[in-house]
Amino acid sequence: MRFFDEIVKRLGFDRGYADFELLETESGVPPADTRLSGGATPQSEPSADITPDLRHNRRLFARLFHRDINSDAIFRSFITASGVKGLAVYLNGMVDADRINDFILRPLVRKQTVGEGDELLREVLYEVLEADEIAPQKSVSKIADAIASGQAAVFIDGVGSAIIADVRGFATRSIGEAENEKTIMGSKEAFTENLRTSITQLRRIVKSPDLIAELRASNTSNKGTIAILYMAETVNITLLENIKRKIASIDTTMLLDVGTLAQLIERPKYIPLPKTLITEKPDRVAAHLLQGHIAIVIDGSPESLVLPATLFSLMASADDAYIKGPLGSIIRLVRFAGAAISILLPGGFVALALYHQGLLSTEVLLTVISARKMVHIPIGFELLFLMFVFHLIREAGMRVPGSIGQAIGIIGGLMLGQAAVTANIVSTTSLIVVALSGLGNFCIPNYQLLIATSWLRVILLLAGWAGGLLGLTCAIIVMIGCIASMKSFGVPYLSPYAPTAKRLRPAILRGTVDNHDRPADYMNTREDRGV
Amino acid sequence: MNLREGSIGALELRNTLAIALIASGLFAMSPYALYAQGNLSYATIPASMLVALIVAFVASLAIRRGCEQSLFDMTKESIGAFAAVVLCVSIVLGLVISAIAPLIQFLRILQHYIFTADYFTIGVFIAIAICFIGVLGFECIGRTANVMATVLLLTLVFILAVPLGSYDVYRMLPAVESSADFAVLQATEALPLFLALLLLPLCMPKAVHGVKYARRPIVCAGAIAIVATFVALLCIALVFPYEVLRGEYAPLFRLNTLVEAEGSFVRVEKITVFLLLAGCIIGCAYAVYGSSRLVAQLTSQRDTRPGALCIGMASVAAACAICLYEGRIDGLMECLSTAKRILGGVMAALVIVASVVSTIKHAARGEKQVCGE
Repeated sequence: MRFFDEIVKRLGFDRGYADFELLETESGVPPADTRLSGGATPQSEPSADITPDLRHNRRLFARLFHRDINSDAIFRSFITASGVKGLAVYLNGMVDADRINDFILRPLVRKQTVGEGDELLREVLYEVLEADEIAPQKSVSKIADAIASGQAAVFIDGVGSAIIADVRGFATRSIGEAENEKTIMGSKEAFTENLRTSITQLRRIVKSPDLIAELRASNTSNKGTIAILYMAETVNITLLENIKRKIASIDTTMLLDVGTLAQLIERPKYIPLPKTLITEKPDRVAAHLLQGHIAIVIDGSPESLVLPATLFSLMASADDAYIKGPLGSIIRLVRFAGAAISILLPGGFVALALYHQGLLSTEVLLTVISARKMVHIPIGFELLFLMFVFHLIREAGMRVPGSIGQAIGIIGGLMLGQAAVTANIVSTTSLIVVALSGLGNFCIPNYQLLIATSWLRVILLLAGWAGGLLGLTCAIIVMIGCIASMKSFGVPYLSPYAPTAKRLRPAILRGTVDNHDRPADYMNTREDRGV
Repeated sequence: MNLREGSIGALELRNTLAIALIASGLFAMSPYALYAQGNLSYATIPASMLVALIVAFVASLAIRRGCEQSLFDMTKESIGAFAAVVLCVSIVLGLVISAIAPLIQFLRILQHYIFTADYFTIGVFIAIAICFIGVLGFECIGRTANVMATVLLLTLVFILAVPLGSYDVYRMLPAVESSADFAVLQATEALPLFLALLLLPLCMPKAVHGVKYARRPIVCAGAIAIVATFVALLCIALVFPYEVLRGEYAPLFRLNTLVEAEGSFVRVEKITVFLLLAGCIIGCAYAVYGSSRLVAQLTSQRDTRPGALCIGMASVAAACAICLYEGRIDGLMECLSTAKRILGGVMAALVIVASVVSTIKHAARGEKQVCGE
């Protein structure tokens, strides 16, 4: 009986899949994630507070920042104009030294103060310091986090709080062009690794007080800052609460990129298709924010995570919306046709060539036969081998820098391909099939979806090889069923077609831009629900 | 609980039902059984579908009037719990038969025209697809049907439109060999398949947002299926006389052999086989899931997936076995036909009696209930 119990437990019988439907008018806590409720804050150790004793604070933070071996930690002592001792702690290279000197140290040593304790703190905050962003802080861990993130902490003898001043001035990459999302029309800007800059780029596009950027530290060793952005009047609260809970429940060693975050919050993890949109373009993120989506930016990552994402939003490109409707529709049709060719062509070719030769016209059949006359490896294996080589060339071209990377494509594609045909390792028809399939694959604008579909076609190839059109049909049905059953944070993956929504956007055919354009109704925004 | 019901909308329910009904209508009965004594299939099958639709419509009205949640609640309330159990079992059997019947035809078509493999080898591929979709649940089936509906409709239209110039009324005559009695037997034999498919949404109210919202998709799906089945069977009758049809395995896919052999159209019939096979898989998955859902309800199981897996595999295995042993066991098909007629009668009788009794009870009480939905 224990054996059967183990099987039942492992197969998960009787356990419901903890997902929810965003279209339903539900609110509050989704049933599975009841560990945390309300506003999610990151888990942190219980923190002690600092004391008014300056020497104690100096020893404490010297130990925290390993001052004896860590030369980055600067402990700048000073005496105020009133003779009170003070200490400024910051990390070399993270702060703007001129701002520290001009707006922190100089006013402190020149301006007189009269109070003590809390009165002294009030004087320093409101009458002495000239920095724009300052706040008192008592918690040791929060002071340490602030220093580690590039802020400066000022301790004053006799005062039980430190003053945190935002004087960050570390070097960052300047705003450049998006390298992985080339567009013909529209903005060319891309996000950078600096969180503030990324949020600023979004605020330049969405000049609305409703745009909220909630910052929180991740529960990881690197304590990266995560920004959750959304439009307060539009976003679905259930979705927002769910995202915050998932982020708060992250407990891992490091979180350096939005890609890692996406893997940590997506479920189930084994499905290759992405459920989030990772983009490096601020205009694209802004468009999704205005539709009621949520964007997540991580300090140190030059991309943004947009969720939820449907298959059609992943297949859309940034400049689809910037050209006329019919033109955009043609481009999208070509894109979807390319994706369909990419997935179906190898499997279909194998099925027809092996099992259904009668379906091919006489001329095509003769071409295939004559091309394969001297090739001795099975046709399925030939296609698999060519697809693998195609991926090798693509990967090598990406990793090798500069002009050599471009040459790899030419060398690999032309010379290797020609040599393989001449050596009768592969046939010309198979080469054409794989090349067409690869070209179609590159029509997919989203990188994760591109990789996922490039391997889905392998499954269809194997199905066609095993069972001809029967195997291919059954595999396609299974694939459509899997995709139809997927949900991206409560939104069905095939929205707005399955289920059919009133507003069919994003879609295959691009409609016209109207004056009364509203967010997609599958987002179930506050406006849709009359809240 | 893992009943995998999800929730689907009116369009998805309509498409799922329509696909399942058309698959059953066109492929549930073998050509030999349909055309042995004449060809009135274009009347009998749609008529049987219409009767099933009327019964389902009456049931939905009675459920709504009595403010019951589902068909079983109404049956239990009006004629007792035992009758509700019998009805549940009969619907389960009807769904299993509606899963097996089209599979038999497709297995024969694939084995005779496409592949030279044995039935079980072909059945493995189909079983994987049916079980996978059935295990994923009702929501998945509905959305898959939504995606495939247009493709399937266009395929059917294409199959019927290609030989447009070949249709001739004279091929319909003679319509019967000696007498038309066989038509009634055909209609009653097909009834349990259609009735089970149409009654299933009334047994899963949560999945369809309540019986109130399921009525219109059921009626729409039934109407679409009746029209499509009638047109398809009529087109077959306009192309082949019944003497030719009773020897054919796949008359629907042989329509365009009358078109000239040059050009590429003559080869497309084999691709249409696979496209319609996709529709059959969706219909079978719907029936498999529905039967596993009702079994779970009957036996108080909290997960439909083991049932869907078992019923799916068993259905395909049964279809393969029938294909193999049909000619070797005397009277097998006659027994099955008789059993189907009895099942259809029991199902229809129980539903009608329950609906009438429920309506009379509520009318006698003089209740004018406003259902709090």
